[in-house]
Amino acid sequence: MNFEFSQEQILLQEEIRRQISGACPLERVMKVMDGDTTERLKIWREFAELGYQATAMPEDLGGYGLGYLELCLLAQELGRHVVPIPMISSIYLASEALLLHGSEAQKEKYLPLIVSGERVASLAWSEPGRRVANGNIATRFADGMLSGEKLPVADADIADLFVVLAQSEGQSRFCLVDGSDSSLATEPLAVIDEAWPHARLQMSGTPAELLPVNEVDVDEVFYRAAVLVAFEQIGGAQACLRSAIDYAQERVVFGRSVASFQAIKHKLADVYAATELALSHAYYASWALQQNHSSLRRAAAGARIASTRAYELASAELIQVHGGMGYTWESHCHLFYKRSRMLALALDSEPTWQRRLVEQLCMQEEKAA
Amino acid sequence: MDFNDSPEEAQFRQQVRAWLVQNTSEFSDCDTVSDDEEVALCRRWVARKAEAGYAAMRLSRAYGGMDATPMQCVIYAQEEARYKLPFNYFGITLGMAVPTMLTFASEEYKVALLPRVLRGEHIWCQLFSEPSAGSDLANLRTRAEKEGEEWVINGQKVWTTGAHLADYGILVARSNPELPKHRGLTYFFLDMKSPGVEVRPITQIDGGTEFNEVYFSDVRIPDNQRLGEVGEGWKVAMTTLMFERQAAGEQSLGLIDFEDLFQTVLGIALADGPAIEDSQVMEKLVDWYLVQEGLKYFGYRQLTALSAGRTPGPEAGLGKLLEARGAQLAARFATDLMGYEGIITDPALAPRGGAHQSAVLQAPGIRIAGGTDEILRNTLAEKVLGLPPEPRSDKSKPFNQL
Repeated sequence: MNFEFSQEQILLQEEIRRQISGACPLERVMKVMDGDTTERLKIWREFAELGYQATAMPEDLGGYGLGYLELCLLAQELGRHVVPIPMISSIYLASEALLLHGSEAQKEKYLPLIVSGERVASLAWSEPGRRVANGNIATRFADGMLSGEKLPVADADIADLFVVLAQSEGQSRFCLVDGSDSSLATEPLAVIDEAWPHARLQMSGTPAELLPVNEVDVDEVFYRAAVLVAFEQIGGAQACLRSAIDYAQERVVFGRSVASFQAIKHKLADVYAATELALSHAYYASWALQQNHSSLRRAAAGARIASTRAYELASAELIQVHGGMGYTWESHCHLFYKRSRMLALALDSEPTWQRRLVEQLCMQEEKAA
Repeated sequence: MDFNDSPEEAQFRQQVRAWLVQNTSEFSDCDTVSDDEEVALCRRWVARKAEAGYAAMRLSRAYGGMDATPMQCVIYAQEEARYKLPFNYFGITLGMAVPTMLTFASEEYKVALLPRVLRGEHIWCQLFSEPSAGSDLANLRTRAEKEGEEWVINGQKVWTTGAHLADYGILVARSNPELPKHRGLTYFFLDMKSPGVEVRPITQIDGGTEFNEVYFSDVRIPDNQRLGEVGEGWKVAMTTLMFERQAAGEQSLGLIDFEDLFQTVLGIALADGPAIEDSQVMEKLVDWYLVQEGLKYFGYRQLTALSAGRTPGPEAGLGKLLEARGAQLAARFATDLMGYEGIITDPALAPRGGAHQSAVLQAPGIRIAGGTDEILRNTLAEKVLGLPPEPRSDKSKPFNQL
C-alpha cells in the first residue's frame, strides 16, 4: 500500500504549477472576467502546445497516455489558478463520454482534434426546470435528429462539438452534434462566474450521431468527472488558504498582525482541516478512477461532496479575512468565490451527490449481506 | 498510489488473519463482564499478542516486538478491528510510556520493566495534567526537589487515565521554579506503589471512572529513574506526545462507527417512509461518512509519510479535531432519529447496544482530552500554517515570578 503520488508525478505537478503561474496568472483570468472574449481560446491553444489536454488520452488517439493520476494533478493546478479554459467541458466530460460510449470511428474522428486544441467540445446535459436524473430527459433523438433545449451549457460560445444527453427509444443516450450546424441556436446566459460563460442551447431537427449503447450507463461519465473536478476544487481551496494566510500576516490591526488572533487562526485551521479531508477522499478516488475500481462511484461521490464543501468554506473565508478589500472587483477573491459556487453546481448540486453516495453505500450493504 | 496490498503485505495480512482466527475466541465476548474482569481479560489478551509479537509490533525483537513497519501495524489494526475485543487498557502504556522508556531509560530498566508490560502484568499511566496545567501544560506546579541521589515529589496531578490500575507512571515535574516555565521541568518514571502516592478516582459525566486525581506527598524517586537531563522535561514530554500521535494514526477514536450509524438509520422508519430515503437524513449520514472515511484515508497518507521515514507532524491533530466534533454531531443526529426513545441508554433496548447514547456522553470528553479543539486549532495554525502565536507574557519570566 502506498497512499502518495510518486516522485515523478510530484515533479510533474510542480513543473505544471510553474508553467501555469507563468502563463495564466490571475490578471489574465481577470481579463476574461472583464469581458475579453478571445482570451479563453488563446489559453486553450497555448495549453494544448504544452500538451495538457493530451495528458490521459491514449496514445493512439493523439494523447500521451499518462493516466488519470497525472490528469488529477493537472486538474489541481488548473483549479489553483482558476484557469478559464474548457477543460471540464471538453476533457473531463465530453471526451470521457466519447471514450466510454463512442464507436472506434467516432473516437478517432473527434478525440485527436480535441486533445490537440483544435476543437472545443462540451457536454450538454442539464435542462430548464427539471432534474434530468433517472432518465427524466425531454430532449429527444429520433430519425438522426435531435430536438429540445439544454440549459445551462458550459462553454457553448466556443464549442465546435456538443455531446448531448437525450432520450432515444426510452433510453438515456449521448448524441454528437456539430456546433456549427445552422439549426442550433445558442444564447448566452448571465451566470455567477463571468469567467466561465454558459449558454442556452436549442435544437430543432438538428442532425446528430448517436453514440453506441454501452454496458455502463450515462451516469458513469459524471462520476469520473467528479473525481477530476474534485482536484480542481481542492486546488482552488488551497489557493484560497494560501492567499488568506499571506494577507492575514501582512495586515496589522489593533497593533498586531491579524494572523495572530485566534479568531482568524481557528478559521484558517478549519479551512486547512476541511481541505486535507477533501484531499484524502480525492486521493482515494483518483486511485479508484485510475484502477477502474469497483468502489469508484462511492469514492467519487465522497470526493465530490468533501471537495465542494472545502472550496466553499475556503473561498468564503478568503473574502472574510480580506475584509472590505476582498469584496471589491479589483481583488482576486471573487474569482475563487464565484468559481467555487459554479463548480459546486456544474455536475449537479450536493443533494444529488448525497443521494448518489447513499445509494452506493446501500448497494455495498446489499452485497455484503 | 496504490491502495491494494503489495504481495508482502498480503502475505502478512494472511498471517495476521490466521493468527486472529486461532486466538481471539476466548477474548471476544466481553459485553457482559464487569470492569475488573475486562481488565483481567485485557491483560491476558496483551500477553497472548506479545507471544506472537503483536502487542508492541514496532519494538525490536530484543524487546518483544517484531520490528514491524508502520504499514504492518495498520494491517494488524485493520484485521483486529473485525473482532470485538476487550477495551485496550494498555493504550497509554504501549503507545506513550513504552516508546518514551525505550528512548530515554537505561538498558537495565528497559530489560527489567518492558517484558512485564508485554506479559500483561504492568499498566502504566501518564502523569502530565494538573489542576492549573491542562492546555497550558508547562504551567505545572508539582515540585521535584533533589536530595542526594533522590528526588522528592510533592504536588497533584489530575485527569490521569488508568492511574487506579497503574503499576508505573511517567511524570513531568518542576525541578527549578526560578527558570522560565518551559525550562525548569524534569521528567521521571516512578513506581505507583511508592509511599506517598495517593490515587482518587474521578467520576465522569457518563458515570465511568477511567481517570483520577493523583496526589504526591514526599514521594521519593531515585535519580536513575530520571528520563532525559535535568531541566529537559519539556523536550521529553514533547517526544511522548509525538509517540502519542504516531499511535493515534493507526486507529479511530471509536466514538461512533459509521457502520453502527448506518445500520441504525436502515432500521428506522419515519412517518413518511424509511429514514434512509429522507434527504435530511442522507445529508447527516453523509456528514459523518465524510469525516470517518476521509480520516481513514488521511491516516493512510500519514502512514506513507512515516514509512518514508518522516516523523508524524502536527498536521495529525486535525484527525481528532474533526472526529470528536463530528462524532458529537453524529450522536445527536442518531438519537434524534430515535425520537423520544433516543433517551434510553439500556443496551438491551437501545439500537446498537446504546452505542449512540454512549457517544453523546463521551464526546464532550474526547473534545478536551489529548488537546482541546481550541488548542488543536492553534497548533494547526501555528505549526502547520505558520501563523504567529498570540502575544504572551509568561514565556520568558522566571516561573516563580508569574
